[in-house]
Amino acid sequence: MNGSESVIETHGLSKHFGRHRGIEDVSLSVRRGEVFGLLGPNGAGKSTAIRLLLGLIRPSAGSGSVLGLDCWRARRAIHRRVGVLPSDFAYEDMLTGREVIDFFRRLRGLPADGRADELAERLRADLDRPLKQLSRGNHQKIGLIQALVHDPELLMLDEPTGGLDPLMQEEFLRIVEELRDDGRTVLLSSHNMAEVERACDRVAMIHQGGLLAVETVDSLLSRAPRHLRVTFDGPADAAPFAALDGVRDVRATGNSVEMDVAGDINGALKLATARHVVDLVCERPSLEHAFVRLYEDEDSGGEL
Amino acid sequence: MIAKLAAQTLRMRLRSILIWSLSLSALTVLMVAIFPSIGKIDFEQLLKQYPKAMLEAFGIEDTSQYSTPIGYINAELFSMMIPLAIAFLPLGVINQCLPAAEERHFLDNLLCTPVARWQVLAGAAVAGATALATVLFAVWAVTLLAAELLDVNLGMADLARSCVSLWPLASFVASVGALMAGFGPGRGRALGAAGGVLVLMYMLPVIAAFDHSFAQAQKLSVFYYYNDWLKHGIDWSEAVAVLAAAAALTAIGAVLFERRDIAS
Repeated sequence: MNGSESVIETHGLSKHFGRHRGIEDVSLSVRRGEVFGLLGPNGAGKSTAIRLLLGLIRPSAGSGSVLGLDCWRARRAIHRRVGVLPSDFAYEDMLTGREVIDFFRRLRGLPADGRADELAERLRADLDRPLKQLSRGNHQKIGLIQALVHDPELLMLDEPTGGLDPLMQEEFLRIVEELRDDGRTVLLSSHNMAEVERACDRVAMIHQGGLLAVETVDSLLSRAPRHLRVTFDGPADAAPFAALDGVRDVRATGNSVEMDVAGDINGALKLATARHVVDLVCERPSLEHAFVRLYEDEDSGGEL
Repeated sequence: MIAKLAAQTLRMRLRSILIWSLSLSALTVLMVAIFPSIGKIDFEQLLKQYPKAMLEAFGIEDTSQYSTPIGYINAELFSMMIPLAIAFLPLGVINQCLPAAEERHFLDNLLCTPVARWQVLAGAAVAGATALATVLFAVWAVTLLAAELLDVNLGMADLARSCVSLWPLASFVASVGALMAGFGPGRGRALGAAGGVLVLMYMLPVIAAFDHSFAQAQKLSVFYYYNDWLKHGIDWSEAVAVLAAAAALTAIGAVLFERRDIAS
């Protein structure tokens, strides 16, 4: 096993639901031992991509493989080695979490080894109450335990922290970090940018069913515009800054001017320091900022 | 794997199986209880006044059948009410395990384990057939006990024949549900199609009694054989053929289920 080995590969993977688009021509590769994020707004095609990889739906075109196995033809062999948390999932409400986990453990032919209790303790999940008495967050914890309990080499988690409180989100991120340290691969889709920024090594951005970018989080952040705020000793003028290349969304308020600067920041700095600068703040872009900008650029046909 | 899935399904449907057992047993016990007073009526004379075709349509070939407890129960319950009702028990089990489970996204979880789709469908079919057998056994046992207590000579073997005859019939109807589940999601579609087949099959021998041009067509109906089993005893070759047809429809459903998308 080496770090560059692909655990997930897709080539031109597409899925159409009649006249409706699911995903279109998605080609990507997820390497062993990395945490890979799928980002995109609702309806972008994240869940469709995961369902294709799990063999729940059949590709309309292209191909996909998971752990070297064809995701449609060899789906059962894939399921033996993968832990899955679907985005929408349900169990029998009258069962307790322990009964649900025991049922899935028996289907996998595994003995009870205390791993479920260990995970339940970490996620503060109550395994002994019927599911119908659990909140959405606690229900989600049962789903996470069920996905993790057999110690899979690959995890596919669709919106894993939905409904979890911030403390449990933090605990979940620690579990993901431990899995990565242990050489396991995690594919997760999320709306939570802070979570993706912290957990993921690389991200794929999906927009209207197509792949917009596949990059490391660091590279994405370095390409994203920085937010610059300069305060002068007198009234600020937005116009000279707005004329600079790579500068946009310039706004002057009183003695301050704010702007987003993509690429080289020197032009804006030189222009600012030509006057007496009282204060200067340059904010590191968040993944959310990068995400929104990338989508806006795509929609307007521009470039980052 | 199929046994594990079927066992889990049966466990989840325990309450439903109990309700079916109690309801149908209550119905048959009621018939046993009222037979001593009904038996005093001269049905033979009464029925002779009806047109022959009409009696045939209702499965009454022998007008003396009302004079025996089993004949009375067969005519009142096993010829129409119970078969039309109990067919929905295994059908409901299959519907819950497949289309309903798909709608509430339980299948997403289940099919992400090393379980083949055909095994899920087979597990549902086995659970349905087992639930059916359990309810029929309960009806048989409770009715016999009631007959014993009420001093009605029902006949253990005769009642067993009526109960056992229902098993291939209801299994066949359930297999139509399994076939529909293979085609696609939607519990209404599976229930509607299987219910439609059930009613159509019931009606074919009835229509054939009035219109003899349907004499051959009625042989496509499971009720044609079932009605005969009630009157003359189970023809095991026919029963095996009905079960083989049910197995074939279930197998086709399984093949289709393996090939189709799971609804999101």
